[in-house]
Amino acid sequence: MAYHGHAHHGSVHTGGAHRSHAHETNTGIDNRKLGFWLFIASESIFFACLLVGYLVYKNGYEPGVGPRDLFNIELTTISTFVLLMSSLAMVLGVNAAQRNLGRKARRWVLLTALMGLAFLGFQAYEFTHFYHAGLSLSSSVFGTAFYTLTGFHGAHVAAGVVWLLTLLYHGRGGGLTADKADDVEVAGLYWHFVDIVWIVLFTVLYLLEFVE
Amino acid sequence: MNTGLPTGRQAKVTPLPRPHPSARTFITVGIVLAAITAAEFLVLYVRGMSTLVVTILAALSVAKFFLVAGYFMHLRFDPRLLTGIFAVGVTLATLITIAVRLINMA
Repeated sequence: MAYHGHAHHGSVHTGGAHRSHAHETNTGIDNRKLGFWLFIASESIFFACLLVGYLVYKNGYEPGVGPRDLFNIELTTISTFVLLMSSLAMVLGVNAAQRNLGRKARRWVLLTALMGLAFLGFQAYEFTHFYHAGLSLSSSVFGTAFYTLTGFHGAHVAAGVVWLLTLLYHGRGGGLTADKADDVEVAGLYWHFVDIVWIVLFTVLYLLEFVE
Repeated sequence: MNTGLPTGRQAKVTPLPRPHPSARTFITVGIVLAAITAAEFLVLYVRGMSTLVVTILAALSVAKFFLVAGYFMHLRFDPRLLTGIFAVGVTLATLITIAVRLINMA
């Protein structure tokens, strides 16, 4: 079975409800979605550069303020779980929007934003604890690399929360209905990407540090 | 295959994306992701087999990566062009990481 990309509207029936689109594209893919995937690909390289910087400098710390001295693996596992579940809430929000269940979609997106804020709360607690233990941005190259990497990830989560809140604002009347499904889906792509980055960081920064 | 288009334009036929899965599928994937995260934490208690534990942790992390990208980001169901774009980014990211690590270890 096939369809003709150049004669096709911006997107397809992917969620069971009719979705209206304003433009046609050569690829048959909504231009915002295509552009956003290009952005995600470039962001992957951005985070890889930060990660490799961390890997190079992670052993540059003073005694007593290294990863194993500071990291609380139990707490980070819980915050990882929260972020993963926020991704589940987000995809359920996208699914509801595509099925034109506007109010349900809005509730899922709200839950996603709240879990994002909870993740940021965990990170703020962690950063505060590390700072009081003697690890600052300038105390060692490990500190610089760690705060830069995880800080940029946290900034991405914060930007995602703001994006979700703007979606909620736009859907304040009838909810996030099918006509807004593409907007919700693109926001979802961003949110899931931030989750994927954390999946990698959680393993490389935290879990592998505690292997004996 | 006759697409009903002029001959010169028939090469532009793109496979039809599959419909996105149901909420039930997404919830199942979410449960699997939670279980993997719990397994990652528990496997840290295995002592004296670091190579095996590192391999398991890497495998579990890759599994989570593909579950989120494939299901939550819909790459299993959307046009393959999107998977290709993401694959280019992830491949370059991986190569950068490996290259700098090798240079750093040399």
